Amino acid sequence: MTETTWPTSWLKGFLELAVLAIIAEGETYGYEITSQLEANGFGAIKGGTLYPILGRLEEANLVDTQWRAGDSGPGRKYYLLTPDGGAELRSRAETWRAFSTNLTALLKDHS
Amino acid sequence: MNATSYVDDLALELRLLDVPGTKIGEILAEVQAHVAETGEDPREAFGPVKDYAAERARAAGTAVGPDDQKGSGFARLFRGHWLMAIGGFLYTALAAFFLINGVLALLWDKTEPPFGIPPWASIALGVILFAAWSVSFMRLVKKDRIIDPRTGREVQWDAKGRMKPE
Repeated sequence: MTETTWPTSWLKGFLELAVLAIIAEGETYGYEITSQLEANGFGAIKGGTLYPILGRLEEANLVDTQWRAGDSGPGRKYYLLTPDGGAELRSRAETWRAFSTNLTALLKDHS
Repeated sequence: MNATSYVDDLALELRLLDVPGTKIGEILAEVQAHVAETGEDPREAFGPVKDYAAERARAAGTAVGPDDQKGSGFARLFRGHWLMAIGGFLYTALAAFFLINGVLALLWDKTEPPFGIPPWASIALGVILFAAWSVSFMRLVKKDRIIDPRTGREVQWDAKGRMKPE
């Protein structure tokens, strides 16, 4: 079911965690993050959805950013997880695991 | 819609929402970098200018009320400042009145200086009023430049509101 479009409210709630996890894999930039999200089954995420999330992560000091000149054109903004971002990711991942375990248990007779 | 005009409109909208200049520079550069890399239409990728600007403004901690984006840019610029705009207009008219009448009375004997005061006093009063106005105006207009994070330089627009190339 990788081709389904996920409920908007789910993406609103959990895309930030997915983005944080992708940045944790190593320094990356906007377009590469959208490709990664798509490859991981989250569908085609638009710039208008991704960049506000990245902005919030930056605002909260969970990621560091750096502009670097690209091969051509107007450069790229690279994102790197900060120590705070790493701690936040671990704590949210743990919370998510507990939450999804509960929900999966509740849903097991219905799917 | 091409990338340039989208970015220009976005800059104006973020300004009207009182987003800090350095933040605006970041947001504009992100849009430019993204569409340059993907070849997407910016309106398609980022959505309507007003919606995207409002979302980024909120994320940057700026409150955006339901009526904040209604009306023309000109009307929004003066919203909440109408009294100051009218007061400023009357004040300038008064300063010009003293200055012009003083000069006329000095050059041309048939003109009476206003309120019977000497022409030089009228001119001096006009000049002082203008000087006081420009000092307080410069204080009101605090400089908050839009800086391109890639170059560290100020982004500038021409009189038509189109971004000047680097």
